[in-house]
Amino acid sequence: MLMVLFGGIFSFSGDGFDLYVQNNDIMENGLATPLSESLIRTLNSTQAFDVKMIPPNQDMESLIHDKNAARILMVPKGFQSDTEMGSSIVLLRYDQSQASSSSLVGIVKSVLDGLNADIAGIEPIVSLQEENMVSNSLRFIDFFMPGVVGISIMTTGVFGAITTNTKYRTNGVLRKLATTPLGKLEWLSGMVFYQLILSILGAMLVITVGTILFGIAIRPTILTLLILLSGGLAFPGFGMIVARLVKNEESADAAGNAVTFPMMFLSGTFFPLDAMPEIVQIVARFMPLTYVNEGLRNSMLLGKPEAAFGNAIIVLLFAFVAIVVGSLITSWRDED
Amino acid sequence: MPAATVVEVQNLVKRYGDVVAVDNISLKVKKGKILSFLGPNGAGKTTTVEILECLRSPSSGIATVLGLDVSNSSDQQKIRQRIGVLPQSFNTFGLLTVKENIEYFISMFGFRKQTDADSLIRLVDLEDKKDAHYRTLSGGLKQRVGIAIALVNDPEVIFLDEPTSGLDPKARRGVWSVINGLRDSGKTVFLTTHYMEEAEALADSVIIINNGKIVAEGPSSELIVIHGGARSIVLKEPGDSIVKAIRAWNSNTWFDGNSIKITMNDGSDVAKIVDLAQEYEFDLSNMDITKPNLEDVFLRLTGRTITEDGGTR
Repeated sequence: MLMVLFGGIFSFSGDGFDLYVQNNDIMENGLATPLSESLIRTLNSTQAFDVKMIPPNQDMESLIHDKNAARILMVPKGFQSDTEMGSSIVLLRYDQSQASSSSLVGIVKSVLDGLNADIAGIEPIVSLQEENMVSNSLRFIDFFMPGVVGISIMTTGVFGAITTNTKYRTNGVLRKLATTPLGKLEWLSGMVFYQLILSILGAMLVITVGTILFGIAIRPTILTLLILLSGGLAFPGFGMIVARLVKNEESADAAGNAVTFPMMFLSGTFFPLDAMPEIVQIVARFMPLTYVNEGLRNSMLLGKPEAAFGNAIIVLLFAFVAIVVGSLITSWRDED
Repeated sequence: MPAATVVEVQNLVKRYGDVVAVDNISLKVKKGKILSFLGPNGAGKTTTVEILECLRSPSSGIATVLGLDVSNSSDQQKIRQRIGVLPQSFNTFGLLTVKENIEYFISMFGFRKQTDADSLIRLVDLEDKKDAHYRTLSGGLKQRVGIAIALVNDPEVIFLDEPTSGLDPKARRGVWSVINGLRDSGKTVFLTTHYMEEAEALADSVIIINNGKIVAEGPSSELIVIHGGARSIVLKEPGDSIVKAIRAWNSNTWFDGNSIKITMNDGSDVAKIVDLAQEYEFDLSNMDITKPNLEDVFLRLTGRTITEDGGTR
């Protein structure tokens, strides 16, 4: 199943291979300098990219934001004259967290090598200046970390709810509790609250370890906490629903895995969702973990509080529905 | 003045699909008495008590506990406040200590009159185990914790469902002495069991249930007089040939594989058995003459006997 999933992800991935190119080396007559012109033509002829020209002096940040550009090559003003002087640079900005990034760098470098050979200097004249983009230094581990936090609160909540309910139902503790004035809602809310605390503690542990070991560049905010809280409510609710279908302790783990594994892989935990096949993206929209992951990234990585708040609301809705349905179908006493 | 009725059941029926688990039973339990609800597994004992504990709803009939209707949901909450329950195969939180478990259940009864944990621990004689984790206790001690927990709300009536099932004789006696203590403190106890000797040892009165129906009720001594029959001669580990000979002579016998029991008509039966023993070389030191007990009552009423694990034979 994992093989199929990964195979699917890799074989279908490819939002194309857009390379935005901005040529700032413009002569007084408004035309590009011949050298910059030939560099871009060579890049285009590799067919490796879908080269998209953008006007000189356009603000790159807005391009990154609006067009979701992940690869930008900038030829600076004075490129041709600098080259003639013996030293020039080309700036490449790209998202390191994307799988296509390394091949991009390789191709651009080989094109520049070709150019340097043409100029026939002994010392390479044109060099490539690489710059990472998206909050300056987004590495795969940075992208991955919020996903790990998401997995952590999902597994804590789902497994916690399933095993608690199943264990106490099969070992007779629930039967004893049912003879006391304790009601079903009190029991379930206590259980959910307990899982919530465990989830938050687990998430804090993951964030702390990630920060210390990998130097993750994340900045948890109050919205991060809101996402964690709503996820910490949604997943035990989800677990309660699954627990209803579980007959004994032995099958509890299997049921938990059956729910958490697909969710883990289909909710953008390991790879950005937009790199996934369309069908996966559609399925992901129905999974709470998708919104937890997005919300965590938006709040502590990408600095998008409005988007994170929107994610939190959706997760809270999931939580509400799951807890209501879970409470309704959980059996307590015979007459309930 | 006659004692008040604490539990009353009239024409109670519980069906699970086509199976009738409890078949039109009626009974009363008086305040301050220990009632033993005796029968083999599957007789309907647990179903009946679970209806009285408001865990299951009756299919038809009326059941009241402390004058409150078990089928009425606002009465149910009042019943739960005022009863103590030791469920069948009782279990509680294994990683909490004895004392923590008891305190947990005390807290569950809110502002109602509460008993303090230490006095309950003393009552069930677990003082030296009060800080032990529940899961480390032996079966008999676990059941005593269960009884202590059943008492946390100072209940007026206590339901003990198979309190000594699966325990060894020594542990069983330990639990019995705790239950006897309850009688002394004036509690009403509704005890289900499949152990004849337990019913005989503890109960003020016994109700025998079989296949969902009540077959006899009354104080055990009375039941024995009415249904127990005469004394019996018991031969332990008789050979096949003497069993055959005894059965040819007296049809009123019962053989369970280990011993044969002959209900006596008069003293001459003893002489006859002695003769047969000599003839078939049976060692007479393995012969007993027994008074009738509840086992004989059950045997005479149902034609079967209850085995150690609660089945019938």
